[in-house]
This record gives sequence, structure tokens and C-alpha cells, in this order.
Amino acid sequence: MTKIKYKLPLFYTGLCLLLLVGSCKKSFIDGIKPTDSASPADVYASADNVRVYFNGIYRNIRAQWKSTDGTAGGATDTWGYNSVFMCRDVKGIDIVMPYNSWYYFDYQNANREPTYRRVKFMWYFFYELINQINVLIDGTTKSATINDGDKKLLLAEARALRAWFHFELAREFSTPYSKDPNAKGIPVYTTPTSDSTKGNPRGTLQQTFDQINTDIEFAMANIGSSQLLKDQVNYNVACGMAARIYLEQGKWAEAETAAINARKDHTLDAAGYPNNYNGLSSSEVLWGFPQTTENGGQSLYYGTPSSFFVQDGSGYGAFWMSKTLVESFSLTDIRNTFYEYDNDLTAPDAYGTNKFGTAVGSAFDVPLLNGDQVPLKTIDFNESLNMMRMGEMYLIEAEAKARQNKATAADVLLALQQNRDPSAAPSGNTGQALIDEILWERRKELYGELGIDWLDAKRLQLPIDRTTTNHPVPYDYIIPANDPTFELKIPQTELQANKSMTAGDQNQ
Amino acid sequence: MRKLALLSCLVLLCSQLWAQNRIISGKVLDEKGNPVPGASVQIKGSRRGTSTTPDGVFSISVPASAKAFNVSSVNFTTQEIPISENMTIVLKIATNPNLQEVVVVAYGTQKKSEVTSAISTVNADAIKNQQIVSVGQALQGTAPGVLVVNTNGQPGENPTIRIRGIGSIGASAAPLIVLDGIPYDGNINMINPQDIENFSVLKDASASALYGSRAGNGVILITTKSGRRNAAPSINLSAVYGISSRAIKDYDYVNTQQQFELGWEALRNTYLSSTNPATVANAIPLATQNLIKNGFRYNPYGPSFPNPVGTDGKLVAGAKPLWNDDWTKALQRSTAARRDVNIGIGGGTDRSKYYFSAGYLNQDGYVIKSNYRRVTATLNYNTDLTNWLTVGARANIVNSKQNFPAQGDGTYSDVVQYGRTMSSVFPIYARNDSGVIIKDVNGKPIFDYGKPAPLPRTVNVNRPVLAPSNVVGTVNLDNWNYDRLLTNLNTYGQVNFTKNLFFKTTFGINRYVLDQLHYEDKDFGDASNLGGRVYRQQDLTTSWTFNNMIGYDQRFGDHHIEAMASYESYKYNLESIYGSKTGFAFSGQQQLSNATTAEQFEGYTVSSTLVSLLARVKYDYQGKYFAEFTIRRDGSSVFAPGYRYGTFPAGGISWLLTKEDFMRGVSFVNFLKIRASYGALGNQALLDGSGNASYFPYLNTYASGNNDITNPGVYLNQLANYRIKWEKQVSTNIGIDFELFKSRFTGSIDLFQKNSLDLIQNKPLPPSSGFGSIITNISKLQNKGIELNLAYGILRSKDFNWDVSFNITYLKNKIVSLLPGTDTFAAVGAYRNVVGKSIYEFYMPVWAGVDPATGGGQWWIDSTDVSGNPTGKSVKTNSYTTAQTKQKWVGSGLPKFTGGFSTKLGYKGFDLNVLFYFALGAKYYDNNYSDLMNGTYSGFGSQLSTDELRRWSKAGDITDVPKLNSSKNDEEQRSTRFLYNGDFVRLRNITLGYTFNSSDLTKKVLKSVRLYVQADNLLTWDHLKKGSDPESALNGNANGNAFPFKTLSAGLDFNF
Repeated sequence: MTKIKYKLPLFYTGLCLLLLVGSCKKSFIDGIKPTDSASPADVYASADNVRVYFNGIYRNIRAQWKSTDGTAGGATDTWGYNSVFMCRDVKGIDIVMPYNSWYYFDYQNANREPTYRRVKFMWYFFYELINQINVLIDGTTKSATINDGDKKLLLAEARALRAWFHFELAREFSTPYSKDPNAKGIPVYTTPTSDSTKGNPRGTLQQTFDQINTDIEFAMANIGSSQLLKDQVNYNVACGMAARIYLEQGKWAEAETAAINARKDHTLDAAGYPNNYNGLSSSEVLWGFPQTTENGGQSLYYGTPSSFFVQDGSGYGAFWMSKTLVESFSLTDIRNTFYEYDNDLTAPDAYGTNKFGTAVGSAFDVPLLNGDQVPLKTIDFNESLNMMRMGEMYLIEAEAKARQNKATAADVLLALQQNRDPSAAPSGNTGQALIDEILWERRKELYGELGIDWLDAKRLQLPIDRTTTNHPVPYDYIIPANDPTFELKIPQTELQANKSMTAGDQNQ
Repeated sequence: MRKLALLSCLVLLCSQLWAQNRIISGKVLDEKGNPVPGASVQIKGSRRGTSTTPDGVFSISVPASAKAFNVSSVNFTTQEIPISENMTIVLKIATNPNLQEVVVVAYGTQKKSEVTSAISTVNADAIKNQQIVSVGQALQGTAPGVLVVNTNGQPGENPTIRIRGIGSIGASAAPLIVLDGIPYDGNINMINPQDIENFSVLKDASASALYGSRAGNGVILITTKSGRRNAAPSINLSAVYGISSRAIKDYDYVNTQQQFELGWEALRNTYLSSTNPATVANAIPLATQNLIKNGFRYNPYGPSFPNPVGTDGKLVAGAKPLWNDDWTKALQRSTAARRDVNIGIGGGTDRSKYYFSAGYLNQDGYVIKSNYRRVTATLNYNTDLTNWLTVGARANIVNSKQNFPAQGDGTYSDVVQYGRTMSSVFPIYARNDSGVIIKDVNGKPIFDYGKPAPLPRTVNVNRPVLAPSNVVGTVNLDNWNYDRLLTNLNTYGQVNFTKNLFFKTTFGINRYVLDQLHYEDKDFGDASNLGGRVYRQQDLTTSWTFNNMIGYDQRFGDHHIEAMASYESYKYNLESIYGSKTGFAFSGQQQLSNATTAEQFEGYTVSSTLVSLLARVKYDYQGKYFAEFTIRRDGSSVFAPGYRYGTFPAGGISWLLTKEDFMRGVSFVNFLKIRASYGALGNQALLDGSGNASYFPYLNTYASGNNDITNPGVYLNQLANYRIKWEKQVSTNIGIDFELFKSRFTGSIDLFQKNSLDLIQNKPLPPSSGFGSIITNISKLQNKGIELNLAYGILRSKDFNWDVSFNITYLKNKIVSLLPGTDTFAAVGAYRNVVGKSIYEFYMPVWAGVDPATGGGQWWIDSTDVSGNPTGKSVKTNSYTTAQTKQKWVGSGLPKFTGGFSTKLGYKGFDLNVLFYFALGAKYYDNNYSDLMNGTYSGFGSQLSTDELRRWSKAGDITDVPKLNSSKNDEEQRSTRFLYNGDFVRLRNITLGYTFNSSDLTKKVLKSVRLYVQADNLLTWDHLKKGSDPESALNGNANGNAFPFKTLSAGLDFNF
């Protein structure tokens, strides 16, 4: 009994202490911090750290993408930058879709309503990246520990991307610049978003392009030449971007110079074409997106072009080639990688292309039109994406020169043609015929990569005429030049949340 | 310190009084003179006691100081009897036994008559009568105010539970689950229903405010079984075997011939819509010629019928399909078994009580490979170490394994939707051009993946539906397993300083391990291009709660005060590691080490903490007037410094009218009480845009892992709102409890209103800002309603007992305010959030039937005059795009009325229990059915409902099914065409049992045996298309999950 006498007070004292300990540990709440992210202080401490942020941005440009709040992207046809190209490709003439698959709605030129996935994806994707760039620019500018030289390099790279993303948006959501520079542009952003952001107005297309031009010119003047990976924007890429931007505005002389500057230290590579420069190691490639299934599944998997172009059953196999385009290639052209798929050569699935995918693991051989028996390519989850190649730079220079009536325009075109086809002969075309030949050459060179025929039709106010080739009923139609279907509508969510926009800002 | 010493002296004094003992024996009888077995005889003022033998006899050693016994037994009034030698005690049948019931409340228990708040209780009987897997299912139809929706028929999946409406929009609206006093962070499917003694659902602020910032959506207290003091060991052994199948029959699909004839018509219609005049002119012959090549690409009628449909649109005479495969059947089990075996052993001595249980459950789903297995073991032990110190512990270990084939996700491996998409046109096994099954080198048939094939094969390849895939082939090769291990330990120690003052310390810890393994086969299916893939994830969740409480209980004459104050800390910690690899050398191997290429390898830790001070004061006067006040102050790591602390007070009063003199004369009223309560609660369960828990909403975070090839990368993934704070719920409740006619008719009515303020929502930003939204405290919601709970004992006799009970809840959910201007863009799927409507208010174009002239759809829109003013009339439009700009509110997905009806019949050894559940007043949108009415838009050979046979086919046809069209599907888009009245009644359970009593059996060993048969989810009455399950989702939008299953079972209960 007496033992308890001592134990009890001790016990109570112990409990009181326990209570005190529990309540005094302030860090119990304040010490809880995230473990899987970095703070702004870390990111802007040095140029190397900003590079880490750049890497994250490049990764999100090229890989499977979903908006930070999960409301856009994330489907096989809204799966990052390649979806931008692929939906443009199927909207044009050169790719044929006989059956329902991903992108079928784009193929019908009907995927443009304000609540549609395509519309939201295009808008959210580029604007998310614009904000990331603005955040990076703001943080880098304000950093007290990065030196001015490094800052200039970082800012130039960032502004090239900012110009590019605005440019892409303008090409999707506005009427062509060539039609009316005073038409509605797209909202321009140059400062980071905060919880008080109200939204910017559309302004005019000219205002949009003014900002684009300012950014890309700053970039060309200040950017470095190195590339950590082919996805990084360097001097060549910035010039290539500028070439496309000037071409869109009809600034032919500037486009010509920029295209020539973009080619610095690079050469054409015909031998790499049949494999579509997969792996990006070729000198032909100025800018491209690598893919890998390793290191976090940085791949598009079934979203890659080969998943849609190869016809061996390993992917969706949904894209076939326009008969007219296929038949315009000579048999000696290295780019003639086509084969007959259907016995009926007027059928929508008459021709397939062996340009995309990989021969590694191929289970079948296929006779190409030129008589070669080659492995039928199979899907490649790690297939790289070409963003900018030498071939295009030659063709921009050729077009810009032709528009300026420079006599050397045909020579530049021929240089490319002969690289691709040793037996190519000069056509002797001049004037509009030469321009038409260059435009056709762009389609031959770049089909399936950038959506070039749709982009050019829009830029030059041309119709999409599908009646002269093998498109299926009822999509064998003509879309007149400057038809409203060339513009995506502004997302409903934007019109509703943007204080600077009204219902009148919607596209037709 | 001096006080403490004094207190301990008091305790010591008490203990010294137990010096001399004497033996007292006696007998306990009922009013008719029959012995009462198992009655508790307890020495007044102590915990010491015994219980009577089957002959009603007891014997106990009592100290000289002891003056009286408290004698009690089930259904009898507890009596205080002075101690004498050789006593004979006569117990009176209790007039209102329910009032003696003890209710589990927040941080303690209370007598039912003293409760001032709204609490629903569900006891072990209600659980026992249902063959459930997840304990939440037992609350459906049994607890008023609790909405339980079984959204998935995959065994082991938990129902969605909402208490008194939907209290949140952007944060979690799920209630807090508290298991034996400790907040539960495991999966609730890990709790064995057979271990549960009762549920207490805390519904109003007064009941739940002690859980503060986690109580905003209500609290479910789960109390597990424990032993009884002074009771001989009681052993209960039960075994159940059952057969499960889907509760709802499937949709009706068209057959192969109908597929072809409808397909022909669709193709003809497409050609007729061509811009090319030649195509239009030849539409009919072209449809016949191209039906295989441009349509189905498979020809089940074989090479003899290359064009199986003639130019008359009918199948060519003599054509017979070479195959007629039923994909749905191939993806379902013919018999899904349920096996459930449990043992429970409980008992106690005068100083301790114990309960031990073990259980095994094995439930198959009706979807192929779907299964849930669970093994549980529990030990619960409480003991008085000294007369001032009690300690107790409950230890529990559970392991479960769940096979969960993909469903509801719309992928190519979705087992449920696959059968709903693939028609009999397509063969399960590969066929050559002649339709003969292709075999591998071993002579086994090869599954058809529907891949294209190189020339010259043109038929029976390149399937237009779900190619390349064959879930029948891959479901048995793939694996999607969830392996869960839960251990939890709840311990407490209680020191009684005096009779009136105690200190209790409680520590409870959950450790929950979730191990996922997802394997996709190397040769077939989604990952075949990668040589197979294995994904493995291990989540370790550790959470603990440490509570220290001082309690006080004192009577001063007519006044009774009970008070409690407590300090509590809680920590949640989740460690996750996941990774995947591809490239297997051998089929059958499924582990990471067997594969070659690492795709990803990630891991992170998140934590959150909560510190709290809480207190309760309860007062009553003469056991007639009751008042209770509770308060909790919480500090949480989820918010920014400066926003971390919140205070949640609540109060309740009640008045026991039957204790008043003026009620004495009203003899038919045995009990009447009025209650009222008011208080504030919080909700801190924030969610991010993807619906995952959000732990740092106040930080701009540059997320790691955004690496570019091998270069490390970060990416800004969250726009912070530094000012984010708790959601608040202000809740008011008024209730009446009554017992009439000798307590045969009992019931309660509750009126409630719950206003949710500062609700967290993602405030939309212009998407051009780069963020779609920012988390903000924006909106206000209101849930109000009435709950009625009635029970009546129709017959009470020696052999025959019949009870019925009924409960119904009326609920109205309304958005009270949204940030100005945000009302129009909170549209979520089929819903649109606006002030004045419920959060699941359907908003869509209104279907106006088929235009007899064109066969296209029509929709109702409000007409406007030339100046754009509404004319008050509705007109039809043929444009879906126009209709989309003029959508309408067409009802809510939330039911207005939900409730249950049950009846219990006992005749001699027989017992019959029936439970119905109903939900009325909701709308139901049937996505699944709209997919089957696609008019061939989804591809030739995709499943079609037999309703498509009624399609419009020529001008003048009057029908409600539009023209077949493979290039346009406006009519299949969201509209009221697929919106149904969601009212339904479900026979949840019917059980028939017979109990053999000890007199029928060998007396000593076996006390009783009960044999029973039962049926769960046997019947459903609804207004839906055959094939739809009305319980599919909380919001009334059908999903693609497996449907609930019905189970027919038989069981045996042994009591030793």
C-alpha cells in the first residue's frame, strides 16, 4: 500500500509533463513542408537552377501533357505538341482517314466548338506554357544572384519560346494575318499570373504580331548557340522560328535572311529521310523532341505519329496517304516510301507510307512503289518528333526569294530537290508557277510532320480541296478559302472568365 | 501537487475498505417466476459483480461494507436491491428498454435519454442480416439522414456515403470515420462487419463539434465488439456460403443479322448525304457492295455471301452466321461465390473483459477475375489493474487481396464496357477469310485482336471496333491486384482520482500498407509493343492520435454536471513509392525484377498534422432539462501561418417532457423529449483539381520529376492561394423523440439545416492566364431537410413477435452563393452550378423527338422575338448546336427522399427479416444506354440497343429513334433523351432463419444454433431502361462500373 503513495504523484507528474511536451512543440505544425517540389528561392538561385526549370518546361512541351488542374489535355488526341501537328495534318488534304479513330473529328474539320476538347487543349496548352515562361522571366529578372550575362542568355531563350507560343495561338485562333492585320488577335501575356489576373483582351492581330516580333528579335540578338538536347531553343532554332513568323506576315526579305541564318552549321541529310530522322542525331534536324519510355515514361506511347501511320496492326493505323500526293513523287525520290495497301487504288486506304515508325521488330516486308522490298515499319513509342528541319529552311528561303522575284529562288528549290532525288531536273518554272511548285514541294517534304498543307492553305488564303483525290464520302469536300473552319473558336471558359472579353470576341 | 496527493489518499482510503468479505448467494426471477439466466449482479459502488447461471442462480463474495446490488438484464429494468442472505430477486420487465440503451457519442458514451443532439445508431443485428463486404453498405436504408450509394459492383469497393446532403463542392464531402475513438485512415473495406457492435452517426453540430475541423461532413463512430464483465466465455461461430450474380439484367442488344441490316441502312444514308451526285445516285448498290469493306470489315456469313445484305436492305436468303460470340457472357462468371466464416469469443471476469475474433471472407465479383479476400483478427482487452487504474487495448490486423479488372475507365481493357461495345459480329477467336478458326502451332485457337493485316487479307481483319484488343484474351493474362495490410492498435489508460474525477490517456495508431501490382501481358494487349509492363506501387500510411483527457462528473442534489477537457494531437504521414518496368523475357513472370527497362521510379512523402484543444460541459436538472456545450480549437498544417487555427463551438438542449407532472396523466405517452442544437463545424479535407488530397494549397510549388530525358526538371504545378482557410458548416437541428403505447410505437423526427460557408472551390481564372483556376473559399451551400424514423411492435407474444420500422429523409440541397460572375462557368459535365439550384442539377438541351420529315433530332428551345426578348413559348430546333446554347435545368441527380422499410417477424424458432431501400425524386442520366443508341456512329459492329430497330427510315415515319447516321451523332449527345426518372425501390435483403435452442440440443456445450437463408439485392423496381442500375452514382450520372450484385446465401451460426 505504501508503495502506491509514492507512485501516484510520480505518475501524475509524468502525465503533466507529457501534456506540456505535446503542446510545446511548435514545429509539429510549422515543420510540415512539401517533399516533392522546390521553392522559388531554390529555382532562381543560379543560372544552373533556372536551367532545371527550363528542362521542366521543355519536358512539358514535348511529352504527354495535361493541364495543371487536369481540365485539358490527357487524351490520345490532345497529348501534347504532337497533337497540335497531327490535328493540322488531318484537317488538310494529304492525309486520308477512311475510318473512325482518334482525330476523326478533326479530319471532318468539325472539331472547333467552344467546349470541345481540341479547342480547350490548343488554348490551355500554349497559354500554360506562356505563363511558365513569364514566371521564369520574372524570377530570372528579379534574381539577385544570377549575373547579367547569364540573365541575357536565359531571357533570350525564354522570349523565343514566348514568341513561338503566341505565334502558334494566333495561327489557330485568328484569321490569317495576310487577310487582315487589324482583325482580332489573341490575348498577349508578358507578366506572370497571380490570383488577381483578370485576363487580357484579344487586341488586333497586328498587336499580337508586334509582341511576337519584339520577342523573337530580342532572342535572335541575344541567344546562345549551344543545345543541351535538340529540344532546346538556340540561335538556329530562334532564326527558324523567325523565318516562319516572317513568312506568315509576308515579310519576305526578313524571312529569307532568317531562314539562311537558321541553317548555319547544319546540312541537308537525304539518307536520314526514310527514317524521318528518328533519334534527331542528323544534322538535318534543327529542333526536335526526343522521346524515351525510360526515366519516367517520357514518351507519347500510342500518341506517336507511327501509331497512326503504320499499318502492321501494332497501333491505331488510322492514317493513309492522299493518292495525288503519292503519285507526285518520282520513283527515284528518296522520300518515296509509299506502298499500296488496297487492291483498289481509288479507295481511301489505297496508299500507306513507311516514313514513320521503326523497322526494328518489323514482322512483315512490304514492296514500296519504287520496287524496293523493305520491312513494313512498326510502331515506335520512342519515335522522336521533328519540329524544324533543313528542308523547310531551304523552302522558306526559296519561297521568300520567289516572292521577291529573285532569280536564285529556283536554284534554292532545286538544291533541295536534287538532294532528295539525284535525278531531279529544273522545272523551269517562274513566277506563280514557281511559287506553286515550292508550296507543293513543302507538302512532299513535310507531310505528316507539321500539318503543312493546312497551315499553308490558311496562311495563303487557299481552299482545302479534297475532291481531286481519294477521300471517303462524305468528307471528299471543298472548304472554301478563309472559311470559318480555319479558326478554332475561343473556349467558352475563356469568354466567361476573361474580364476583358465579351461575347463579341468569339470567332465566327 | 498537494491536491494530487490528497486525491490519491482518497483512493487509498477506498481500497482499504475491502477488508472483510462474506459470500452471498441468491436467485433472480422474472415476474412470472421463471429464472433469469445471464442477469448481471453488481455490488453497488464498485465494478465487482457476477452473472446468473442458466437456472438464475448467483453466488458472490461481497465486502462487509457493501449495502446493495445493482441487478440488471436485457429487457428488464435495472434495480437496486439491498443485500441480504439467500436473496430472491424479482426483476420487472422494463417498460421502455430503449432508454437504458447507451449511445456512443464523441469522446464517450451517453444514455439515450440524455442525448441532446441528432445521432442515428445502427446495431450489430442490422449488419448481421446483410451479406456486405464494406461496412458502409450496412447504413443504407437503416440510418436516416445517411445517403449510401453503391457505385461499384466490384467486391471490396466502398459505397459513397454522405450525411445530411452534400456539404462541400470542391473539398471532400465524405464523413469522418472514427473507429473505437481513433480517426481511421485505412480503407473502410478493411473493417470486418462482423466485428462491429454498433455505428453511431453524428449528424448535427452538437453531436460532432468535438471533431472540429474534420466534422463538417458528419462523423461515423464505429464501435467494435468487446466482451462483458462477469460473463462466461461465449463462442460464436458462423459460416455463410452464397452465390452472387449481377443484380440487374443486361441491356438488350441487336443480333448479327440486325447489325448488318442496320449497318447497310446507315451506309446508304451516308452515301445519300454525299456531295457527289454519282454517289447519291448509286447509294443503294454501293451500300450493298461496300458494307463489308467500308463497314464491318468482318463477314460472319462467310465467302459464299460476300455481300450479305441485298439491295433491298435485307439479309440475303440462306445466309447463316458462322459464329455468334457473346462477349459479355465470355467476360462474366456464371457463378460467383461468397464464403464468409467468422469466430468470436467474448467474456470477462469481475476485473476484466476480453473479445477475440477472426474472420475470413472470399467474395467473387460477377465480372471475370474480380474477387476480394479478407482475413481479419482482433483482440480487445480491458482490465482494472487496480481499483483506480484501468487499461485497455484493441489490436487489429487485416489483410486483404483484391483482383480488380479494369472497369469504368473507358480504356480498351475495360472489362465491363468491352462487352457493352463488342457485338456478335466480331469473333472472339481469329478467323481466316473463310471464317475458319485459326490455330497456333499447338492446335489452340488464337484470340482475335482485330489488327490490320498486310495484303492479301481483306476480310475478318482490321476490326473497326476496339482494335487492337481482345479483353477475353488478355483479362486472364493481365493482373490488377490490390494487396492491403492494416494494423491498428488503440490503447488507453484511465486513472480514477475519485468517484467524480478521472484522467484518461489514449493513443491509437493505424499503419496501412497498400500494395498495387498491375501487370499487362507481354504478348497481347496494351503493352505488347513494350514486351509487357508491370506497375508496382506501395503506399504506407501511418497516422496516430494521442489524446489526454480529464473528466469530471458530479451531482449536487437535483443538479448533475459532467465535464471533460482534452488535448489531442494527430499526425498523418503517407509514403509512396511507385515504379514500372517493361520488357519481359517470359510470360507468366510479373515482378519488376523480371523486366528489363525501367519506365519510372518515383517516390515521395506527405504529412499533415493537427493539434487540438477540446472540451464539453453537460448539465441536467432533475434528469429533465439537459444542456450540453462543446468546443474544439484546431490548428492544422494544411493552411498558411496566420490561417491555421479555427474554433468550433456547439450547444444543445433537451427537455424530457414525460418527467413533468402535467404529462403524468397522459398514460399512452411513455417518453417524450424535445431537442435543439446549434453549432459550427469545419472541413479541412482540401482537394486539388484532380480530386487528390491537397496538403499545401498556400504554396507555389515547382514539382520535381519533370525531367527532360536525363536532365533534372521542375515545373510550376500550383498557383498558391495564401489566404485559403477552413470550410465552415453552421448546423441547426430540432428534434422530437417519443415512445407511445407502452413503448410499442417509437420514433423521432428531426428538422435540420446545414449552411456551408467559405466553401473551397477552384475559382476559374481565364485559361489564358495559364492556370484554369485557383483554389479559393468562394461558395455557400445549404442542405436542409426532415428525418422521420418510426418503429412499431405490431405483435408481442410468447411465440409471435412482429416489428416494423420505417425511416425517410427529405433533403434539399441548394447553392446559396457563388463568387459574383462565377455562376455560369462552374459547369461540370452534365451539371451547372448556379445559385438556387442543387450542385447536381442537370443542365442540358431538351429533346423534342424525331423530325418525321428528316429523321433528325429536334430539341426544344425558348423562342425569342425579333428584338431578342423571350416570347414565353417553346419552339423546336433541328440544330443541336443551337439547342446547346439554350440548355435548361431539368432536375437534380440527388434524390429528394431516401429511406428504408424493414420488418422483423419471429415465430417460435423462426425469424424473418426484410429490408427495403428507396430513393425518390432524382433524375438519372443513362450514358451507357446513349452509347448503345449511337446509330452506328461508334463504328460498324459496335453494340446497338434493340431500340434502334425502331429508327426512322423514311419520310413520314413517326418514331422516337432518329435516322441511322455513321457520320453525325448529335442525337446521341447529351440531352433529356437519355434522362430518366430515377425513382427506385430495392429489396436490399430478405432473411429467413430458424434457431434451435439449447433445449433442443445437447445442453452443456452448444447453447444455440441458427440456420438461415437469405437474399441480398434480390429485386429492384425502377423506371429505367432494362440494363441500367439506378444506384450507379451519387450524382445520378450512370457510370461504366460493374453493377451491384445480388447474393443468395445460406448460413449457420453456432453459439457455445
